[in-house]
Amino acid sequence: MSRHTFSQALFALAGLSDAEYIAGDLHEEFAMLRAELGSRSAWRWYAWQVLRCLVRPLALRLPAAFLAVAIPLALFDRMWLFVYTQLCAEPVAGLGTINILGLLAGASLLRPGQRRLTMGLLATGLAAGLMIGPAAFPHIISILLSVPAGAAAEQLRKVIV
Amino acid sequence: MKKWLLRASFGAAGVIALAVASLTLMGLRDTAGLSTSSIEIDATPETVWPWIDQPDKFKQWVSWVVSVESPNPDVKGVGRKSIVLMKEPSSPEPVRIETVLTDYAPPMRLSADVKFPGLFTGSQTYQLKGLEGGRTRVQLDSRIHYTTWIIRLFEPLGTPSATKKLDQDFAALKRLIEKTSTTAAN
Repeated sequence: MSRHTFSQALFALAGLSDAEYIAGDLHEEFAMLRAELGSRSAWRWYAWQVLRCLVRPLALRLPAAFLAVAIPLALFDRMWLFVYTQLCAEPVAGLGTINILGLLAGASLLRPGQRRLTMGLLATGLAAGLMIGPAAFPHIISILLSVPAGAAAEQLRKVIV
Repeated sequence: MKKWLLRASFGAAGVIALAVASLTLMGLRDTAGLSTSSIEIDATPETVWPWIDQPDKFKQWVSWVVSVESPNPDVKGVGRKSIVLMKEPSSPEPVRIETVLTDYAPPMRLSADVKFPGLFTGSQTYQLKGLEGGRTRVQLDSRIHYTTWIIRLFEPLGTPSATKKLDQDFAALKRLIEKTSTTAAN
Protein backbone atom coordinates (compact mmCIF):
# COMPACT_ATOMS: atom_id res chain seq x y z
CA MET A 1 0.00 0.00 0.00
CA SER A 2 1.43 3.40 -0.98
CA ARG A 3 1.91 6.26 1.47
CA HIS A 4 -0.83 8.21 -0.26
CA THR A 5 -3.40 5.38 -0.13
CA PHE A 6 -2.53 4.58 3.48
CA SER A 7 -2.98 8.13 4.74
CA GLN A 8 -6.17 8.47 2.70
CA ALA A 9 -7.54 5.33 4.34
CA LEU A 10 -6.57 6.66 7.80
CA PHE A 11 -8.34 9.96 7.11
CA ALA A 12 -11.44 8.16 5.86
CA LEU A 13 -11.48 5.97 8.99
CA ALA A 14 -11.21 9.08 11.14
CA GLY A 15 -14.32 10.39 9.40
CA LEU A 16 -12.75 13.19 7.30
CA SER A 17 -15.15 13.82 4.44
CA ASP A 18 -12.42 15.23 2.14
CA ALA A 19 -9.87 12.49 2.91
CA GLU A 20 -8.88 12.07 -0.75
CA TYR A 21 -8.08 15.77 -1.27
CA ILE A 22 -6.15 16.16 1.99
CA ALA A 23 -4.09 13.05 1.23
CA GLY A 24 -3.47 14.36 -2.31
CA ASP A 25 -2.29 17.78 -1.07
CA LEU A 26 0.02 16.19 1.49
CA HIS A 27 1.42 13.89 -1.17
CA GLU A 28 2.23 16.81 -3.49
CA GLU A 29 3.83 18.89 -0.74
CA PHE A 30 5.81 15.86 0.41
CA ALA A 31 7.26 15.46 -3.09
CA MET A 32 8.29 19.14 -3.18
CA LEU A 33 9.83 19.05 0.32
CA ARG A 34 11.75 15.90 -0.46
CA ALA A 35 13.32 17.59 -3.48
CA GLU A 36 14.21 20.68 -1.38
CA LEU A 37 15.09 19.32 2.07
CA GLY A 38 15.76 15.65 1.59
CA SER A 39 13.89 12.48 2.38
CA ARG A 40 14.25 12.43 6.18
CA SER A 41 12.90 15.97 6.74
CA ALA A 42 10.10 15.40 4.26
CA TRP A 43 9.03 12.20 6.06
CA ARG A 44 9.11 13.96 9.45
CA TRP A 45 6.95 16.76 8.10
CA TYR A 46 4.57 14.27 6.47
CA ALA A 47 4.10 12.18 9.61
CA TRP A 48 3.46 15.32 11.66
CA GLN A 49 0.84 16.58 9.19
CA VAL A 50 -0.96 13.23 9.15
CA LEU A 51 -1.07 13.22 12.97
CA ARG A 52 -2.38 16.79 13.05
CA CYS A 53 -5.12 15.91 10.59
CA LEU A 54 -6.16 12.89 12.65
CA VAL A 55 -6.18 14.42 16.13
CA ARG A 56 -9.10 16.80 15.67
CA PRO A 57 -11.65 14.39 14.13
CA LEU A 58 -10.68 11.64 16.58
CA ALA A 59 -11.05 14.02 19.53
CA LEU A 60 -14.47 15.01 18.19
CA ARG A 61 -15.48 11.39 17.84
CA LEU A 62 -14.43 10.30 21.33
CA PRO A 63 -17.57 11.59 23.13
CA ALA A 64 -19.70 10.04 20.39
CA ALA A 65 -17.93 6.69 20.73
CA PHE A 66 -18.34 6.93 24.50
CA LEU A 67 -22.06 7.51 24.11
CA ALA A 68 -22.64 4.87 21.43
CA VAL A 69 -20.38 2.09 22.73
CA ALA A 70 -18.91 2.60 26.20
CA ILE A 71 -22.15 3.31 28.09
CA PRO A 72 -24.18 0.42 26.59
CA LEU A 73 -21.14 -1.84 26.97
CA ALA A 74 -20.85 -1.05 30.66
CA LEU A 75 -24.59 -1.64 31.12
CA PHE A 76 -24.39 -5.01 29.32
CA ASP A 77 -21.37 -6.00 31.37
CA ARG A 78 -23.32 -5.35 34.60
CA MET A 79 -26.39 -7.14 33.24
CA TRP A 80 -24.49 -10.31 32.28
CA LEU A 81 -22.65 -10.36 35.59
CA PHE A 82 -26.00 -10.13 37.39
CA VAL A 83 -27.58 -12.90 35.27
CA TYR A 84 -24.65 -15.27 35.77
CA THR A 85 -24.50 -14.54 39.49
CA GLN A 86 -28.14 -15.65 39.71
CA LEU A 87 -27.20 -18.86 37.86
CA CYS A 88 -24.19 -19.42 40.18
CA ALA A 89 -21.98 -19.60 37.11
CA GLU A 90 -19.18 -17.64 35.50
CA PRO A 91 -19.95 -15.64 32.34
CA VAL A 92 -18.86 -17.52 29.22
CA ALA A 93 -15.74 -16.31 27.43
CA GLY A 94 -16.08 -13.79 24.62
CA LEU A 95 -19.28 -12.06 25.75
CA GLY A 96 -17.50 -8.69 26.01
CA THR A 97 -16.17 -8.96 22.46
CA ILE A 98 -19.56 -10.05 21.15
CA ASN A 99 -21.19 -7.08 22.89
CA ILE A 100 -18.74 -4.65 21.26
CA LEU A 101 -19.28 -6.21 17.83
CA GLY A 102 -23.06 -6.17 18.32
CA LEU A 103 -23.06 -2.52 19.35
CA LEU A 104 -20.89 -1.53 16.37
CA ALA A 105 -23.07 -3.61 14.04
CA GLY A 106 -26.19 -1.93 15.42
CA ALA A 107 -24.68 1.50 14.80
CA SER A 108 -23.63 0.46 11.27
CA LEU A 109 -27.19 -0.61 10.44
CA LEU A 110 -28.22 3.05 10.60
CA ARG A 111 -25.67 3.99 7.92
CA PRO A 112 -27.15 3.21 4.51
CA GLY A 113 -23.76 2.50 2.90
CA GLN A 114 -22.87 -0.14 5.48
CA ARG A 115 -26.29 -1.69 6.02
CA ARG A 116 -26.07 -4.53 3.48
CA LEU A 117 -22.59 -5.64 4.54
CA THR A 118 -23.56 -5.53 8.23
CA MET A 119 -26.74 -7.54 7.60
CA GLY A 120 -24.69 -10.12 5.71
CA LEU A 121 -22.13 -10.39 8.51
CA LEU A 122 -24.85 -10.67 11.15
CA ALA A 123 -26.68 -13.39 9.21
CA THR A 124 -23.43 -15.32 8.75
CA GLY A 125 -22.57 -14.98 12.45
CA LEU A 126 -26.06 -16.10 13.48
CA ALA A 127 -25.92 -19.14 11.18
CA ALA A 128 -22.46 -20.05 12.51
CA GLY A 129 -23.73 -19.70 16.10
CA LEU A 130 -26.71 -21.96 15.43
CA MET A 131 -24.43 -24.55 13.81
CA ILE A 132 -22.11 -24.54 16.84
CA GLY A 133 -25.11 -25.29 19.06
CA PRO A 134 -25.73 -24.72 22.80
CA ALA A 135 -22.17 -23.55 23.49
CA ALA A 136 -22.91 -20.47 21.35
CA PHE A 137 -26.39 -19.73 22.76
CA PRO A 138 -25.14 -17.04 25.19
CA HIS A 139 -23.40 -15.28 22.30
CA ILE A 140 -26.54 -15.42 20.13
CA ILE A 141 -28.64 -13.90 22.91
CA SER A 142 -25.96 -11.28 23.47
CA ILE A 143 -26.05 -10.32 19.77
CA LEU A 144 -29.86 -10.18 19.79
CA LEU A 145 -29.68 -7.61 22.59
CA SER A 146 -26.58 -5.66 21.65
CA VAL A 147 -27.41 -4.99 17.98
CA PRO A 148 -30.66 -3.09 18.73
CA ALA A 149 -28.91 -1.38 21.67
CA GLY A 150 -26.16 -0.25 19.29
CA ALA A 151 -28.73 1.08 16.83
CA ALA A 152 -30.59 2.89 19.61
CA ALA A 153 -27.37 4.39 20.99
CA GLU A 154 -26.36 5.55 17.52
CA GLN A 155 -29.78 7.16 17.02
CA LEU A 156 -29.45 8.89 20.39
CA ARG A 157 -25.95 10.03 19.49
CA LYS A 158 -27.26 11.57 16.26
CA VAL A 159 -29.92 13.46 18.17
CA ILE A 160 -27.56 14.72 20.88
CA VAL A 161 -24.24 15.35 19.08
CA MET B 1 -40.85 13.84 21.91
CA LYS B 2 -43.86 11.70 22.76
CA LYS B 3 -43.48 9.88 19.44
CA TRP B 4 -39.82 9.14 20.22
CA LEU B 5 -40.66 7.84 23.67
CA LEU B 6 -43.31 5.55 22.20
CA ARG B 7 -40.91 4.27 19.55
CA ALA B 8 -38.18 3.65 22.12
CA SER B 9 -40.61 1.84 24.42
CA PHE B 10 -41.94 -0.38 21.63
CA GLY B 11 -38.40 -1.04 20.43
CA ALA B 12 -37.19 -2.05 23.90
CA ALA B 13 -40.26 -4.23 24.44
CA GLY B 14 -39.71 -5.87 21.05
CA VAL B 15 -36.07 -6.63 21.79
CA ILE B 16 -36.92 -8.11 25.19
CA ALA B 17 -39.74 -10.18 23.66
CA LEU B 18 -37.37 -11.47 20.96
CA ALA B 19 -34.74 -12.40 23.57
CA VAL B 20 -37.32 -14.13 25.78
CA ALA B 21 -38.75 -16.04 22.78
CA SER B 22 -35.25 -17.12 21.71
CA LEU B 23 -34.33 -18.24 25.24
CA THR B 24 -37.61 -20.15 25.52
CA LEU B 25 -37.02 -21.92 22.19
CA MET B 26 -33.43 -22.75 23.13
CA GLY B 27 -34.63 -24.10 26.48
CA LEU B 28 -37.01 -26.55 24.76
CA ARG B 29 -34.20 -28.69 23.34
CA ASP B 30 -33.79 -32.28 24.60
CA THR B 31 -30.38 -31.55 26.05
CA ALA B 32 -31.49 -28.53 28.09
CA GLY B 33 -29.61 -28.53 31.39
CA LEU B 34 -27.35 -31.41 30.33
CA SER B 35 -23.61 -30.92 30.69
CA THR B 36 -21.30 -33.73 29.68
CA SER B 37 -17.57 -33.96 29.96
CA SER B 38 -15.04 -36.75 29.69
CA ILE B 39 -11.31 -37.18 29.93
CA GLU B 40 -8.69 -39.89 29.64
CA ILE B 41 -6.36 -40.27 32.59
CA ASP B 42 -3.11 -42.21 32.69
CA ALA B 43 -4.09 -44.29 35.72
CA THR B 44 -6.26 -47.35 36.45
CA PRO B 45 -9.93 -47.03 37.47
CA GLU B 46 -8.95 -48.20 41.00
CA THR B 47 -6.53 -45.26 41.26
CA VAL B 48 -9.04 -42.74 39.89
CA TRP B 49 -12.04 -43.88 41.96
CA PRO B 50 -11.00 -42.44 45.39
CA TRP B 51 -10.63 -38.98 43.79
CA ILE B 52 -14.35 -39.09 42.98
CA ASP B 53 -15.59 -40.98 46.02
CA GLN B 54 -13.61 -39.53 48.91
CA PRO B 55 -14.52 -36.00 50.07
CA ASP B 56 -10.96 -34.93 50.97
CA LYS B 57 -9.72 -35.86 47.48
CA PHE B 58 -12.88 -34.63 45.70
CA LYS B 59 -12.50 -31.07 46.96
CA GLN B 60 -8.93 -30.90 45.64
CA TRP B 61 -9.98 -30.92 41.98
CA VAL B 62 -13.53 -29.56 41.87
CA SER B 63 -13.23 -25.79 41.69
CA TRP B 64 -15.03 -23.56 44.20
CA VAL B 65 -15.55 -26.42 46.71
CA VAL B 66 -14.87 -25.22 50.24
CA SER B 67 -15.95 -28.28 52.20
CA VAL B 68 -17.73 -31.63 51.83
CA GLU B 69 -19.48 -33.00 54.88
CA SER B 70 -21.62 -36.08 55.31
CA PRO B 71 -24.61 -36.00 57.69
CA ASN B 72 -24.71 -39.83 57.67
CA PRO B 73 -21.06 -40.96 57.43
CA ASP B 74 -21.95 -44.46 58.67
CA VAL B 75 -23.82 -45.12 55.40
CA LYS B 76 -21.54 -46.52 52.70
CA GLY B 77 -22.82 -46.41 49.13
CA VAL B 78 -26.43 -45.73 48.11
CA GLY B 79 -28.17 -43.35 50.48
CA ARG B 80 -25.02 -41.55 51.66
CA LYS B 81 -25.70 -37.83 51.89
CA SER B 82 -23.23 -35.01 51.44
CA ILE B 83 -23.39 -31.27 51.94
CA VAL B 84 -21.06 -29.52 49.51
CA LEU B 85 -20.25 -25.89 50.25
CA MET B 86 -19.11 -24.03 47.16
CA LYS B 87 -17.78 -20.48 46.90
CA GLU B 88 -18.64 -19.23 43.44
CA PRO B 89 -16.31 -16.26 42.68
CA SER B 90 -18.99 -13.67 41.85
CA SER B 91 -21.26 -14.63 44.73
CA PRO B 92 -20.63 -13.14 48.19
CA GLU B 93 -22.05 -16.12 50.07
CA PRO B 94 -21.05 -19.79 49.69
CA VAL B 95 -23.74 -21.95 48.10
CA ARG B 96 -24.89 -25.17 49.75
CA ILE B 97 -25.53 -28.20 47.55
CA GLU B 98 -27.09 -31.36 48.93
CA THR B 99 -26.32 -34.71 47.33
CA VAL B 100 -27.62 -38.24 47.89
CA LEU B 101 -25.97 -41.27 46.28
CA THR B 102 -28.42 -43.22 44.13
CA ASP B 103 -26.04 -45.68 42.46
CA TYR B 104 -22.71 -46.88 43.79
CA ALA B 105 -20.63 -49.46 41.90
CA PRO B 106 -16.93 -48.95 42.67
CA PRO B 107 -14.72 -48.45 40.74
CA MET B 108 -16.98 -48.02 37.71
CA ARG B 109 -20.07 -45.90 38.41
CA LEU B 110 -21.39 -43.39 40.90
CA SER B 111 -24.66 -41.49 40.60
CA ALA B 112 -26.12 -38.88 42.89
CA ASP B 113 -29.17 -36.67 43.10
CA VAL B 114 -28.13 -33.06 43.63
CA LYS B 115 -30.19 -30.24 45.03
CA PHE B 116 -29.57 -26.54 45.51
CA PRO B 117 -32.68 -25.41 47.42
CA GLY B 118 -34.39 -22.56 45.61
CA LEU B 119 -32.25 -22.84 42.46
CA PHE B 120 -32.04 -26.32 40.96
CA THR B 121 -32.42 -30.06 41.35
CA GLY B 122 -30.65 -32.62 39.19
CA SER B 123 -28.52 -35.70 38.95
CA GLN B 124 -24.89 -36.49 38.23
CA THR B 125 -23.37 -39.75 37.02
CA TYR B 126 -19.66 -40.54 36.94
CA GLN B 127 -18.66 -43.47 34.76
CA LEU B 128 -15.16 -44.91 34.69
CA LYS B 129 -14.02 -47.19 31.91
CA GLY B 130 -10.72 -49.04 31.96
CA LEU B 131 -8.72 -48.65 28.75
CA GLU B 132 -5.65 -50.37 27.35
CA GLY B 133 -2.33 -49.52 28.95
CA GLY B 134 -3.78 -48.93 32.42
CA ARG B 135 -5.63 -45.80 31.36
CA THR B 136 -9.15 -44.73 32.37
CA ARG B 137 -11.85 -42.76 30.63
CA VAL B 138 -13.88 -40.74 33.12
CA GLN B 139 -17.22 -39.35 32.01
CA LEU B 140 -19.60 -37.12 33.90
CA ASP B 141 -23.19 -36.52 32.83
CA SER B 142 -24.81 -33.77 34.81
CA ARG B 143 -28.44 -32.78 34.31
CA ILE B 144 -29.77 -29.71 36.05
CA HIS B 145 -33.37 -28.57 36.27
CA TYR B 146 -33.83 -25.02 37.46
CA THR B 147 -36.78 -24.82 39.80
CA THR B 148 -37.95 -21.23 39.26
CA TRP B 149 -39.24 -20.18 35.85
CA ILE B 150 -37.22 -17.00 35.57
CA ILE B 151 -33.94 -18.84 36.21
CA ARG B 152 -35.12 -21.70 33.94
CA LEU B 153 -35.51 -19.13 31.18
CA PHE B 154 -31.79 -18.43 31.40
CA GLU B 155 -30.80 -22.11 31.22
CA PRO B 156 -29.29 -21.73 27.69
CA LEU B 157 -26.84 -19.24 29.21
CA GLY B 158 -25.97 -21.31 32.27
CA THR B 159 -25.42 -24.74 30.71
CA PRO B 160 -22.41 -23.76 28.52
CA SER B 161 -20.75 -22.27 31.63
CA ALA B 162 -21.45 -25.45 33.59
CA THR B 163 -19.95 -27.58 30.79
CA LYS B 164 -16.87 -25.40 30.68
CA LYS B 165 -16.46 -25.76 34.45
CA LEU B 166 -16.70 -29.56 34.17
CA ASP B 167 -13.99 -29.54 31.49
CA GLN B 168 -11.73 -27.39 33.67
CA ASP B 169 -12.34 -29.58 36.72
CA PHE B 170 -11.55 -32.75 34.76
CA ALA B 171 -8.34 -31.18 33.48
CA ALA B 172 -7.40 -30.47 37.10
CA LEU B 173 -8.28 -34.07 38.07
CA LYS B 174 -6.05 -35.43 35.31
CA ARG B 175 -3.15 -33.19 36.37
CA LEU B 176 -3.50 -34.17 40.03
CA ILE B 177 -3.75 -37.92 39.46
CA GLU B 178 -0.96 -38.11 36.89
CA LYS B 179 1.28 -35.92 39.04
CA THR B 180 0.57 -38.10 42.09
CA SER B 181 1.22 -41.28 40.08
CA THR B 182 4.54 -39.91 38.77
CA THR B 183 5.63 -38.84 42.27
CA ALA B 184 4.70 -42.28 43.67
CA ALA B 185 6.59 -44.04 40.87
CA ASN B 186 9.73 -41.99 41.59
